[in-house]
Amino acid sequence: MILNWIRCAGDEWCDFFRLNLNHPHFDNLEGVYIIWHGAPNSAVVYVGQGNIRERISIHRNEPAITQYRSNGLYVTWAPVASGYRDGIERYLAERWNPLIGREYPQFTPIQVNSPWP
Amino acid sequence: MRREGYMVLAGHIDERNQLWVTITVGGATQKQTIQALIDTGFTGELSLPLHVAIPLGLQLTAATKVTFANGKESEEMLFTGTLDWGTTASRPVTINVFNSDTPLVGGGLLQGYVLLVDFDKKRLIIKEPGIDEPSVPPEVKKKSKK
Repeated sequence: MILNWIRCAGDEWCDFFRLNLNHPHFDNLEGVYIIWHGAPNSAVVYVGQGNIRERISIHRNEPAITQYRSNGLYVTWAPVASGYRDGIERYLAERWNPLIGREYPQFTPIQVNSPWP
Repeated sequence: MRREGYMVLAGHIDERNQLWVTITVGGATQKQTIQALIDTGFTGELSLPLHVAIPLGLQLTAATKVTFANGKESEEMLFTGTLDWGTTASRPVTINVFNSDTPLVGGGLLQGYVLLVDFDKKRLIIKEPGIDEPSVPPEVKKKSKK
């Protein structure tokens, strides 16, 4: 499955804290998302799914995620229908091994393109 | 002074991996658009060579003690001018004037900005202070509408 990973102005990755969650794009938008931190030692911090606006708002107040702020935190997301989200989330978690681990749903992974090569 | 909205600014990276931006600096007599080197080790706002600073007619505002990278200290004059950069127009800026060849943009001027540097592709993107708007492809806009 090919996903449209969304970027921000200038075709650059969105800053996790500065992203305008009030943008109409996020109205009723559900899908999967990836949060990662920048150099040094860039790494995926979290892979999740659900209502993008709500989920990112919650994550902005989670110390487990915000501890990486000094490295630069970025986020991208892709609209995905609910029936595919569990499998995609599992695939992305296995593919990128996020720093903040959690029990990902025991669904058959659905292979998708990643935001990066 | 800041105009509506914010911008993504482009800089460039030279063959020595130095980061450069184009800014316009002004004083009482003229404005000049110059290439300035980003120097994050410089905690001030802007440093100009004498030959750039003199024709601008900058206003002398203070003297301050400056500590150089080699630990040497010196008493330096501080000037005030205006800066045009992206959506920032006629912003007052504190300027150190040195007998050097290269204008420097320091960390003090970059407060709130986000710099994205890709040394492989020689790309320097600067996001002005403000919020980051999603750039949504047309087909996604359509799907996300109810």
